[in-house]
Amino acid sequence: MRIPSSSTLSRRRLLALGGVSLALAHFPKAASAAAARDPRLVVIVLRGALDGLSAVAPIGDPDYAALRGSLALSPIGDKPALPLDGFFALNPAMPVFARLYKEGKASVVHAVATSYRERSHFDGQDVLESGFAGPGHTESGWLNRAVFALQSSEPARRRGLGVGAAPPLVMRGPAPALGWAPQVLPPAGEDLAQRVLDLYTHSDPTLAAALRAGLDADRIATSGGLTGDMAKSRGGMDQPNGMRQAAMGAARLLATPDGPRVAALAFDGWDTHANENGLLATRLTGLDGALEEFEKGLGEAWKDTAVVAITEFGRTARVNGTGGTDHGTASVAFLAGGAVKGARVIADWPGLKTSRLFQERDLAPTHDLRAVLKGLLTEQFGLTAQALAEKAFPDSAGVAPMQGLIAG
Amino acid sequence: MTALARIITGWSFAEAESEIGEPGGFVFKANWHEPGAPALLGKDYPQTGREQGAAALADIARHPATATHIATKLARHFIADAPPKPIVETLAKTFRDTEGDLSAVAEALIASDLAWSEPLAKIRTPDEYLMAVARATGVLPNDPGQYLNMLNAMGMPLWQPPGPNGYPDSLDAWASPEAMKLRLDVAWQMAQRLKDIGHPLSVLDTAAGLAASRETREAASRAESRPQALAILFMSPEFQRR
Repeated sequence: MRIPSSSTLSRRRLLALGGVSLALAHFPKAASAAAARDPRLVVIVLRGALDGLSAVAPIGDPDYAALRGSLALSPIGDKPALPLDGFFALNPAMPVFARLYKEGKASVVHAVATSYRERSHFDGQDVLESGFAGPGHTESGWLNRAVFALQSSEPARRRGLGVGAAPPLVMRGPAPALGWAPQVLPPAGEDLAQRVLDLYTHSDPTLAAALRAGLDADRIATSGGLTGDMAKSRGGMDQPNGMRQAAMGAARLLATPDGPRVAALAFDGWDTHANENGLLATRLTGLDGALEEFEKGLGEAWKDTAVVAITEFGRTARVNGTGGTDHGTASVAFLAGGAVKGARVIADWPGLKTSRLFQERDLAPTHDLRAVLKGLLTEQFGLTAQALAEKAFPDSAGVAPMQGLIAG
Repeated sequence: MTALARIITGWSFAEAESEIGEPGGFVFKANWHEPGAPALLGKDYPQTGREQGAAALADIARHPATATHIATKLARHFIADAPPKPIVETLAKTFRDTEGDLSAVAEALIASDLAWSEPLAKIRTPDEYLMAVARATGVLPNDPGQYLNMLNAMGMPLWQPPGPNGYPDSLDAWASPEAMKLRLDVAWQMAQRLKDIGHPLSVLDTAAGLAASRETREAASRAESRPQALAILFMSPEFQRR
């Protein structure tokens, strides 16, 4: 048996994949999928707490410039913020998002937070990813349980993909998910891979199926090779190259006709206690590049795709003594993709006067992030209110899905 | 959970510069201990200080569920993700009969035929895999960083499990498609680095002895290079399975 060098994946081969880790047993004929909408959802977890006030700046707020001091963005100057709606402006490191916004394919939810009100990254990320109202749940994530709920109600089509050596918590859980990570080791050659596969085929079918599936997934994700700077420098998940690579691979897998439909990625390095202007520019450049890779790599599927970037909490409204900010409360969520009803900053703006700040120090939360995520799951996949409130986000019946996030 | 947490308040360890005990060792810090006698699993603990925690832990160790829990974890780790019920019961009984003598439990595990049945149902964890390569070849890493990077790549960063319940202990977790692909890359990395270790087949004899299969021997013999033969050996079922 030869490993095919083609970048496309045959249905038969994906069925072989499914035997091991993908729940692919009963998907409908591809013919019917061509006409119907075939939605994708990508969740990017920004670990470390993104500063929403520097990512999407409320430059129209009369208290903004004074409060933010050296971190304040301005519509004028050598690095002008990119205008969004007159009140909010985007960090200049995100030209792709600005373009998508103009095209009606990107939106922002501002002053948004999970139900977590303490300031521990670990607990905050557990709440963000587990979907539970409080910390202490690390067995499974809301995205995985949402996929699982869909699988029990319809043929198993909404397959998950977790990007990273270990999949992010949000994608871990009862629903089998494909894993893929950008290459961190120099890869073994195809010849060696084939020899080991042959050996397994004769002596260990379980390992044979797993290795074959892993090689196939990697081949799709990295097909076409890397070009230019990316081929030279691999970069971690806190660097623009690493973020782009992760997105490029995930996009290829999501674009495959019979591939996954839901993916989770995690980008690191948002904990900007010092030198925030420089650090955030690097990270946001990476996030912006990742969105561009999704747009390019998903091709036709981009029109049915929603990407959402979320973070565990925001940062202090005031600048600290080291040109950075400390752990806070509300932040932003970025939405991008052909399926997104864009060109909007969705905010119930709380204001930045000291009395309006949460505990007189953080941007106050006025939207529940779970409402945003529920809205996306409902409008992309038709997940029921009950499944959302019981399976994906336990004990959240009081948090209604935000409506109209998806176009159409 | 919170009752036990209260009971063991004050249990701590000595810091590096500590004068109250050997650094890293157990110490009881009396002024950190919360006074009172909380009830745990329906029983009051009137003891004070360190004795309160010791009494609670002794009762937990004698609890029948603990014997079953430990027995299941051991059997799952050494035999199969879903170990045969009889061996779990045997191990749990040994645990109860010996008041939790873990060496007796381990001996009962080794003595059971069920622990030796084939085909082998588990796969080495990433750290076991790296250690097995070192043992089979007799070559220890000059640079621990390389091994740490490989552990990270394979999803088992040293001392940083994904959650408080530790690393996974199932075949699915460690023999996933992604994990197997990374194992192959690691095998190739290590095989290329090894020099002067003799004939690859002698490594197979060292590592697998009589368990070495004809298929693996042939696949290694036909390899196009010494490193490729070694990588095939490292990936062979008799090397990966346990």
